[in-house]
Amino acid sequence: MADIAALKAALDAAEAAEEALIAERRQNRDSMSKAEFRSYNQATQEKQIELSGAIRDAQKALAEALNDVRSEALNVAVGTVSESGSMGGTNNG
Amino acid sequence: MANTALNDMKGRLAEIVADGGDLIVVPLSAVDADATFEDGYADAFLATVLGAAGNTEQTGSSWTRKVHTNANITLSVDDTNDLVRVILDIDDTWTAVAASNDTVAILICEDGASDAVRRVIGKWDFAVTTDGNDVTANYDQTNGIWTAA
Repeated sequence: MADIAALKAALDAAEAAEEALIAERRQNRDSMSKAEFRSYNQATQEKQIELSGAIRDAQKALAEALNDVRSEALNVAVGTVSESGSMGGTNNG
Repeated sequence: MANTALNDMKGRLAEIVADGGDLIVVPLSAVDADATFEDGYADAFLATVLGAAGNTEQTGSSWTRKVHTNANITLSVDDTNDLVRVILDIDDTWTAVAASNDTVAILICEDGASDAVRRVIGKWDFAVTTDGNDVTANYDQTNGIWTAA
């Protein structure tokens, strides 16, 4: 049987790492100009994806370990807001 | 109830993502009626929206807010259908949510330093009756959470 405590600790660590990045991004969003933040965001794309992937992997490992003690998870589809005739149609990024 | 946006924020989500913004998902146990929500509040900030009597954040059991960093959000221009889509690349999972901690909707907001500056974009139906199992928000990977034309 997998060490559930260790898997939970790994998930907590992954989430803490992403939290640190999010805090840094919030701070930089306040302190940087829009252009500076865009550059910073581009430079940290790989790190963002890496940290999110680590959380996803840790969640999956923990969920699989817990699968024998809990029944099927709930999955809820989230829909789409469709907007027309607004300025949102232009990607001016 | 329907998936819908604050009128004041319509048209802005694509630009927020293009500018490098992050999005934050907030589970709700109660939400105003569509028309009330769409007409908006004194402003679009999360603190104000959650301060309205009809909107209640769900914080029971393992419910937490989830942040989607910019690299995990796809801004996709669909030239076939002549619109732009915003897609959350990663589903959100809340682990082992205890019974009697139900939700009715999620808010999706532009992230910021605090609720006083986080702008609410809209609300999406998310009716969950919790029973101790995990809850996963499955974001549409084809149509996205948002289209604008």
